[in-house]
Amino acid sequence: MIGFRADLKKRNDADAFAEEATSHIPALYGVACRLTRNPTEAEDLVQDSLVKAMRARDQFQADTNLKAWLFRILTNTFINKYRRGGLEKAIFDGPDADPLVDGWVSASTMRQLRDPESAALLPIVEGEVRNALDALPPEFRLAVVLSDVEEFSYEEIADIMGCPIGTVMSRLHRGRKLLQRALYSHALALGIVKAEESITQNSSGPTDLVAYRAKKRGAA
Amino acid sequence: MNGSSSQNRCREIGRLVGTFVDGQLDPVSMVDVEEHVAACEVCKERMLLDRATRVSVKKAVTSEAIPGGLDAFAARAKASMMASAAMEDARLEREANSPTPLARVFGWRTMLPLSSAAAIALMWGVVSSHGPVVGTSSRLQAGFGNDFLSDLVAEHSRPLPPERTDPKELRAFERYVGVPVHPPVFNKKPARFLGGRVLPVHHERAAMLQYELGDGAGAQRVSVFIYDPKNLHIGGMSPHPVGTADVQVGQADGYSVAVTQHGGVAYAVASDMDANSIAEFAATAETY
Repeated sequence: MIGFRADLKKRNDADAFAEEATSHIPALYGVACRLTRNPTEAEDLVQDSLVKAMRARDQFQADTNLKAWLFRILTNTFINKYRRGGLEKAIFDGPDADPLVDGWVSASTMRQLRDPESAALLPIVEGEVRNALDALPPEFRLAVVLSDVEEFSYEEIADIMGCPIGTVMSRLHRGRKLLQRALYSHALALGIVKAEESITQNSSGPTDLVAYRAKKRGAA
Repeated sequence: MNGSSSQNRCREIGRLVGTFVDGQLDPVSMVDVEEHVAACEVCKERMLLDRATRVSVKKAVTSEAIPGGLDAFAARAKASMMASAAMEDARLEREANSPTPLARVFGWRTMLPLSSAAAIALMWGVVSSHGPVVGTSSRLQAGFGNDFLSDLVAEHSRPLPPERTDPKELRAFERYVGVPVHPPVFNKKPARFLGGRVLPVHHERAAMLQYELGDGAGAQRVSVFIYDPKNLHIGGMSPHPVGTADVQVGQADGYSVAVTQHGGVAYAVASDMDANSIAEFAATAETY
């Protein structure tokens, strides 16, 4: 009887844990989609991560951030699963020493990229955000998504990604710069904004990301 | 302020704007940014564009629709989790009595039907004092127990390039691994240190150090995994004492792994040696 009660308690605990963990599926799935860039793989990644979390639930410390812990498992699962393809190297060895310039365009051009009513980007520019995100190196993409979408603190992101806070800040800064350049390039192609001298003086503009990724692939 | 110093100031502030928008800037710098942004149109637009980009990134990612709907996905995930928990309990119970060699982890698509069957078998076992639980579970649990052992073997058989090649730099791994990382010295055979790296293993991390024994075509590779045994446990291992040393040995895919512990730190040595040789090799290693 005691054994049966213990079993029942275990199952109830497991049930409560599963209930709470699955409540984070929308967040996990959104990030997994951006990491894998494939809905089926994203679903597998979330499922695998949740099963791993369940098996390791004894190691989760109550009163700490379950969501951050789940994201840590998701990130490690992603790295484990995809590193044979070479992505993990980018996450652990990130090209943080490669400086990007701070040059940007005029105030009026920046204003033209925004939609003042929604406080977001112009819808036509916003439509390109997923593509621009997907084109980012994975370590930048993950940092940006964890910060902008899940609103984790830098400290939490550092813990999730297994790197120092300074590296998180650097990845965020560079990731956002690359993202904005890609969006600017999109707006330029659509004729929403006009080309400006400053961005071409300070950087190679929209082709910068392509060159950067090619360089990274060569170094890997 | 002349044009050049104003530009420099804008550049300085530009580096802080992202952190400012994230709300993670220290109070003094926050005041600096606020004051500058109030007086500088370009930096104000930069900040507004940063904010707008965040809003759009959030919208783009959170609008990702789950194929088949959230409820169905959550139900599938929960079923997998509960089945996994039931199997894990069964495995632990069985391992306490008679450790069984276990096989690799399957993907969840394979695991769900298998583990559901195991969960049903387990439930059946709970409500009846006898039944098919032992036979069924012992076959099914083969998929879930020694994935750590298989992972270590996979890391050894297809090693990733080292992050550090200077043994003195390995101390930097400590903060990621959670235990001191010192390269062991092998007394049994002279070993050449090739380098080390940090690996994500399951939801924890381990340091992986690579060595080579001998030279040329006859060189033999050895990997040493250093980790916190409180967080990671290798299933499917058998006791293989060497003298007074407590050594555990497991084998997978033609490789052997020997585990020893010193001062609360676990050292798993992987190689293609046989069980006796690797146990002896690991037992005679000196750790600091």
